[in-house]
Amino acid sequence: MILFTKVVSGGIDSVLDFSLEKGSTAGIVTSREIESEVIVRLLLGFLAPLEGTVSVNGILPYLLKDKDLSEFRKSVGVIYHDGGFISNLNVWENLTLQLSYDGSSKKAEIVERGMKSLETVGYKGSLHVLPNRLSIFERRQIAFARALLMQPALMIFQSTLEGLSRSEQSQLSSLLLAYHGQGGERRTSLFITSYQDSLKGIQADLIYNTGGATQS
Amino acid sequence: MVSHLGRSALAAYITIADLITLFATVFRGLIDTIVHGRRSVAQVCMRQVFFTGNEAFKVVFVISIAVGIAIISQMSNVTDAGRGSLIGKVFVWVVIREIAPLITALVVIARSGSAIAIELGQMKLKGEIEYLETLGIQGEQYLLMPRVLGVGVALFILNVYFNLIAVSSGLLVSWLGWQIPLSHIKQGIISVLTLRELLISSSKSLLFGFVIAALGCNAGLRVGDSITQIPQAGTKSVIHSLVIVFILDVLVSFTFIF
Repeated sequence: MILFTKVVSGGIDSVLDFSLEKGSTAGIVTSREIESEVIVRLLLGFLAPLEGTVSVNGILPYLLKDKDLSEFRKSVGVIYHDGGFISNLNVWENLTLQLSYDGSSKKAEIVERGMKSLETVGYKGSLHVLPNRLSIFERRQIAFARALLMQPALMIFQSTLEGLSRSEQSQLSSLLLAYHGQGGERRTSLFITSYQDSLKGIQADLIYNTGGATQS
Repeated sequence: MVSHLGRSALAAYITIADLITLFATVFRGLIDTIVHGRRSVAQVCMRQVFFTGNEAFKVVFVISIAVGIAIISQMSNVTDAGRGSLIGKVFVWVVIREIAPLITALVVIARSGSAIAIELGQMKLKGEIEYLETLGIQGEQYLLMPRVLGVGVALFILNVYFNLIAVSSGLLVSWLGWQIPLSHIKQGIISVLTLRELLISSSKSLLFGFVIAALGCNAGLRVGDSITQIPQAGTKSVIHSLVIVFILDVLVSFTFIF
């Protein structure tokens, strides 16, 4: 369960107060992009709220120590608007970085899971190019494929469906929803965007507007 | 004047404190990497060895030949050609103990120290360090430890190459140019080249490598929100490394003398 209780933070004009049940799909519509970034940073423990509390499954991320925070972040999949890549690593290295760093999988297993994940998202481009050569759609495909490798229970999509053509948007949203659907009650998906229209294809259980209005 | 001195002393203190903290972080990261077998960290470390060692080799190769020839030329002019054994001894004392670790360190400061600072500065400015941490990867373990170890190992290897090439080129030129018997020089080298001399040279190169990389990382990670801070980080890393490497050189030499 994600719980924002009377949260005040720099970069956000209003007080955030909402809760999101485990297993649900929700949209948070912000008034501008910086608000989306701040909410993601609050959820991942990069920022502590000035007032109020942010809780993810009973954990206050910003109070965790470094090692616990790293473990917590492994349980969250984040698709940043630009993919969130390391610019000097190629597509394959970026894709498998988390799994390889985790150290729990053998090389052959990493290769197999990586290829399967790419197949799932439908990426057909080169694996040896640097991320700045990719289109915005490809970046998000790879970012999603990377998240799939860790099978996180919570997925955060930061402006993931913005700036795409209609067909790309529909392809990506069906992928994201399929992943959510496969997890049953276990998987929670949170779409954070400053452009409400991008949530049209998502059947959200809750849409929270940082300006105030909430639709269920 | 007093306030200026105070500010400089404070800045030096902060840099040294940062350096100690960074080394502690690297050490913690090293243990964790060994225990958990972090393949990706080992990969970054190998890349750093390649980038620093292999790509600096050409420069070190040319400089080491030039230094070998220059030292032999000067020594042959100062002493007469019959004193080949003294030339050999001077080679060990001057080249192996002092010049090789210092010059290879200068090459690495210019190439890799500033490059590390700029690379990490750019990563920080573009939010890539936060992206890494989002994946549950501890930035200091993935970014700092392999760079510090990688540059240390690379500098150690470069130092070995420098010594071998400088001594060989010196021997060759003295034999061809001044007809000094090789056996005389060799005898001089062997008489003073003890394990202690090799230890001084090696420990200097390893230490310099660790410090150069650590200062580069420190400067890069201190980049804030402005792109103009990136070249400043590169410059800062070079200046700090130069000062600290020369100070360390004196300290290590004194430690082994007394």
